[in-house]
Amino acid sequence: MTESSRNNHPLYSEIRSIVGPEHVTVDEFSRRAYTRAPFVSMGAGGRGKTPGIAVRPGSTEEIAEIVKLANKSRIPIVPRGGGGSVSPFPPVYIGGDDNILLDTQRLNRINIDTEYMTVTAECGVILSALAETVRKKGFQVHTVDVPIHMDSVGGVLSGFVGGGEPSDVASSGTMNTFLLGLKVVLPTGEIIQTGGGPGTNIHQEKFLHREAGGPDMTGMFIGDGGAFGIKTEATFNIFPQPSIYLPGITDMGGDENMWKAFDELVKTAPYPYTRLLSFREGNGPWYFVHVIRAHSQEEADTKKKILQNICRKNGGKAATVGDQIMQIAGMFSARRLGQQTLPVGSTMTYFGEALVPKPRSLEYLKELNALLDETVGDLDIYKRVDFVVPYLRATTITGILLYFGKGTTRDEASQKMAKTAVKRMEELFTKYGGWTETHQGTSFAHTASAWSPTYKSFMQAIKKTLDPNDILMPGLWRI
Amino acid sequence: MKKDKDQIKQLLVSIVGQENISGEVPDLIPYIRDSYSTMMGRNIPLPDFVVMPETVDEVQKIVLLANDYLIPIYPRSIGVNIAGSALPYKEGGIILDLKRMNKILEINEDTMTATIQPGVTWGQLRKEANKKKLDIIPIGGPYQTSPVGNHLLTNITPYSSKYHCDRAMTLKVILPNGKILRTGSWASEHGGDANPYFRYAYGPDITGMFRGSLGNFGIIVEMVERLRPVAPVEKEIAFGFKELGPCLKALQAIERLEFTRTCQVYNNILAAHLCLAPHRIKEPGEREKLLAKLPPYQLGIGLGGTEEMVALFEKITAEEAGKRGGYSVPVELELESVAKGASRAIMHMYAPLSGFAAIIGCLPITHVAEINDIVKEAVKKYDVRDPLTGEPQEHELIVIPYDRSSTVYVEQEILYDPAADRATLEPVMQCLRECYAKIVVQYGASHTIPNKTLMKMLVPSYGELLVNFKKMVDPNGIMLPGGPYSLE
Amino acid sequence: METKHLNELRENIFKCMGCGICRGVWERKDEAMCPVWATCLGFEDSTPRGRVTVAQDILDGVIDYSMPLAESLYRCTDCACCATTCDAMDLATGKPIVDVPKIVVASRMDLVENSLVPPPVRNYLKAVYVNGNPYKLPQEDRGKWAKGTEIPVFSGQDYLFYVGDVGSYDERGQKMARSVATLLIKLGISLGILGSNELSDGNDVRVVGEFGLFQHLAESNISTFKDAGVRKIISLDPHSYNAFKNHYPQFGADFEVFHYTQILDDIIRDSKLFKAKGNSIKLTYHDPCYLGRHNGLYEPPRNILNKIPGLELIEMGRNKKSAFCCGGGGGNFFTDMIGGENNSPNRIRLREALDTEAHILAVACPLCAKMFEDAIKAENLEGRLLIKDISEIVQEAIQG
Repeated sequence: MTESSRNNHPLYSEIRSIVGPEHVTVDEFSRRAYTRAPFVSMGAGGRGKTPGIAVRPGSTEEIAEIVKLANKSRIPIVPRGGGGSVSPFPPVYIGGDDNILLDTQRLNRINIDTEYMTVTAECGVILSALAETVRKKGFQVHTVDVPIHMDSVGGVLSGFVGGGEPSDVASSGTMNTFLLGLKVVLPTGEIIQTGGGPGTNIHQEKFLHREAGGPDMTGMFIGDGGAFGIKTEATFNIFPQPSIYLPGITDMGGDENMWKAFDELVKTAPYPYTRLLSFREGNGPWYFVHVIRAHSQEEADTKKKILQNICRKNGGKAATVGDQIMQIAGMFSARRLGQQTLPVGSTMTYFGEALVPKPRSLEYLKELNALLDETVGDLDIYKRVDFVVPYLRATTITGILLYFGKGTTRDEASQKMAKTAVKRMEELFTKYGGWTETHQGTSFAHTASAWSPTYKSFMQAIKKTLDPNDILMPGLWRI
Repeated sequence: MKKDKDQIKQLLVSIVGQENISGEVPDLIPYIRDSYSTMMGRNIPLPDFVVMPETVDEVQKIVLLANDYLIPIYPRSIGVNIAGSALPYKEGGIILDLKRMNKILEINEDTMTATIQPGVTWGQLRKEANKKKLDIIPIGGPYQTSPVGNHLLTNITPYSSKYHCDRAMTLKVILPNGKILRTGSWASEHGGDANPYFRYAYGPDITGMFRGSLGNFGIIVEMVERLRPVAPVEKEIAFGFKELGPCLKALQAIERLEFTRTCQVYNNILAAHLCLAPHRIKEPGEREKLLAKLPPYQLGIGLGGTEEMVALFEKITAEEAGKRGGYSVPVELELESVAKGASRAIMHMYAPLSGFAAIIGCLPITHVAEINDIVKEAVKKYDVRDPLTGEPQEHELIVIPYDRSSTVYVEQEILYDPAADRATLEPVMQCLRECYAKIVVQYGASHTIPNKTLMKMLVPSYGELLVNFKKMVDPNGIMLPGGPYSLE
Repeated sequence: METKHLNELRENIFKCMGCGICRGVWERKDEAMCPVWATCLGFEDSTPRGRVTVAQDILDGVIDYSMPLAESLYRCTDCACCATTCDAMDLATGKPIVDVPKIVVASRMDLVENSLVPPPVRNYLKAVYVNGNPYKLPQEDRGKWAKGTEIPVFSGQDYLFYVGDVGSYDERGQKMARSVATLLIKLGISLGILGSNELSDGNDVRVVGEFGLFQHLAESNISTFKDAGVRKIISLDPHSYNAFKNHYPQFGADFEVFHYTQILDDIIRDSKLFKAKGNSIKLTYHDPCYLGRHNGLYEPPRNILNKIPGLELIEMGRNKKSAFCCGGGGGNFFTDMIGGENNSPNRIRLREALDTEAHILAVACPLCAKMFEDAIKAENLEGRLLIKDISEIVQEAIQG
């Protein structure tokens, strides 16, 4: 289609009158800019479908109007947050030529209630903005730390385990642990508010507790990949910032020592850490990156002692690390995706990151490494970092970071190897009953194939109930 | 029912066996009574049968049968309920008593989880978990209740604030259409059995949909519940306060330091009744002696960790409490077990000497002192007397925080004589109605038990969503027809 | 269409991970932020990440250059915040692997060669081409700013004082030129100016992609400087400084180049020069992009200000490497492609200055000075915050 015929997008005039001319575009380059997701190098399929029109609504009400329009015309909508999904997100793959891409980043208001200790953020807010705004008031909010500068609130709640992998995932679970409620535009255009408080209680203006009264409908929209509704606001509990923050790194040596210490730490009550991550570079030793948060020096010292005792008892020792290791450690515990330096022409991606039952984590990692060697081992991989992160006590997030050298990502052969790797990884996930961060992204088809028939028909029924015209993220999970 | 009762009975017998089904009135009557319904004077309709399946397969067959003949089902796990949640709404139908499904299928030391059936009680689970140096994440309900039932009531009483309410991880549910659905990481057909340990997986949080659903969306037949490791040292401590305001401030300040295992505030009335509960009142004046001994308000904290850590937390807690006028008090034996959660003592403080009507709400901590006064004044206004002594009554109060937040669960109890006639109970009813109206309307307290009152409080669009889900999941309306999400 | 220049950066373009950190985050008031993104009007293509995505598509032949795309590309102010923020750094050089400003300039070069520039850009280039300056004023008037002063014509002094387009023709720029030149002379610096023999330095011509014209200007200037015997240049304007330092050497320039603040920093060794002031005045300093991020000169202006008694320097949240652009770079001073209305970059930056509660916003660039004075008017803040360049502050401090 030419640009002038693009102006004939069926809903152009109407959308324009809702959001204003400066917030809607049919320019091809503008629309194309939305088709890429990070880390496409890893055989993630490159680019996806170009939307027919890109819109930046400024409020929940504008989104509701657009959704109603879309319903009338049966034109799909694909919502987008920060565009930071490391698993190329469905916007890249789904829908047809007329797709309406909803860029939610103008929904960027944040409101903090320090008395009730809640923060309500519109879903276009980038996580670092949320964390920073809350921090300035002396509080903290449980957010994803890596990558904090990329993801929006709405995006991260729609995706991986419904809330990504916050820095404190080891002790506090995913970002939705402290989610109190959501404002959602349903696929029919109705606006609902979930959670205990204004949505479930006509007498209450404040958010109380997520499950106050009735089933937890908030959960319906967490991890939904955007298919069940467009989240426009999220309210979280916030907590006073602890005054002490003590990062550290311990050399844990080989598999056996590391695992014994890891297991013991995870089973300790209470946790002597807020953050815990285990990684090794190549065939090097395992390192624990740990952070202790405490409200007093005494508390920090006591927790540190417990942590150190457990590590030492299992062969751990103070780490003497060079810049490279510190960079990797920093990357996992720092606020930025990166803090890494790469040789010219190189890139980095996650490989096989999945949630697996804790007892099988190392077994999974071993198989994953073997898979890597078999499928992409011939590519120019100059660094490989294995990592295991506890998710509370029962599960871990385990995977590999791959650093590719020059020229590995654009040629056909490399892409083919990467695609084979992805396919084999999916089989591995199934074997371990694990699933991946890409469950609503590149691996959405695999995710759906893993469901039992009953689960699939249940999801189809939910989809039909909420989205009878199938306009929101059509095709996701093939429901 | 389209077929007659006898034919239905035969079909049910073929599923569960003769000894596990009854349609006799004496067998049915216990299923339509609880203290709440008695007090409220509700006329609970009589079901046709009570059926007690033992296996998932049996439950599934019953549900399929119910769909075929449009037979209402009212499931119950243990059925200990004081708010009418386990009672039928309409005449006829089946009470599905799941107490024979009482197996603990797995206690996994590595993942620290338990896979249980609906008939398992907290006490049973605790006993088995303790053998493996694990424990339940404490709840405020009594030990005879079932975790599954508890979760169906939006996890009533958070109790252990540290663990948030995210205790139920994955579920196996018999849907109203008879199909078996597994949620969370259990959803996978292939590797699911390898990993039923994670709630947020494979898409939206479907586990959440069934929690707090009161059985409207399906029958939970298995649940994977989080356990916690027992700390090397676990200790309960308590601080007395003269006034409620400073006590609540201390609770909030301590909670925000993020180390308590459990945390709650009681008034002396409740504390006294809890202490007396196991052995009941043996001598006149026993209660009064206890009341004189206990502080007006008590902040109970459960600590856990190494010896050093517990000593440190104890010191910090004492400082925080002290700053606000709190003073250390001994922890009465029964209160210690209450603090550990799932205690026998929670169950009926005065029973069988009296009943208690609970005014329950979830609301910001800033309003607790005010609503405490509201109940005090209402009790006085309606001259609600202590059923035991005949004296003016002071109500019971417990406050439990939700994980460091400003929101708390508040339960205030008014005692009454369940044997009294309607005229005598009328002031109690009026008192309750007035309290609820004020607390709910003025203070926006959220009720934690799904019922028709709650539905009236819902924002219409949200209520519609629930009803639409009900239609989707239970198109034939066989689960708890006439209930909160009724299609009628 | 031709994509010759973009093609030269092919490898870098495809190494972008697409993480989006380059956009910056508004609430991180201590971190760099793309001024185009901050105007809140842009779609994904107006972000640095989006620009790379579009560049990839152009190289893959999926889309072609177009006028709407050109308009988007010309909004970039070449502030280099994105290059500073990008986390994928070349281990060897410490520079970003994906240099978005370079990619934008390369795209603009393609656009110029394809004759696909928006009218404001075309008009700017035409003015410089025809008149030698963007103001369409006579070349002879170039030295008029020095009339009435004792600033000599260059005839072999130690330094050539190079003024640039804004300093030569814009009223505010002229005021600043006079202030800097007279101060340097007062402090004993031997300098002279070229007056009407000075040509446009061409920095912004280069940045808008007209490399041919830039080369002509550069070679002409180099020839003039050499003929005049210039060995050292003091630049008023950081844009000129950037051109002379980084882009003239390829055409044979081998002059020592300074920004005037470097000279002042060198001369002013302590506070003895200044008359003591009673009350402390709060001031804040804005780092010009071409002095700061492009050339690493953060300290000289601060050193000068810190030596002046009676002044309290309060840093804005975004300072030095993370300083927020005034919106005047990338040719925007002359083309105003970025727009932004209430949220134009100069107004955003002015609000950041106001947040410090300073009475003075110190600048070291005539374009920044003009941008902020325009913002003061737009925000109705006359009298609330004064815009002064470093030399004006020094002059006042010397006089007492």
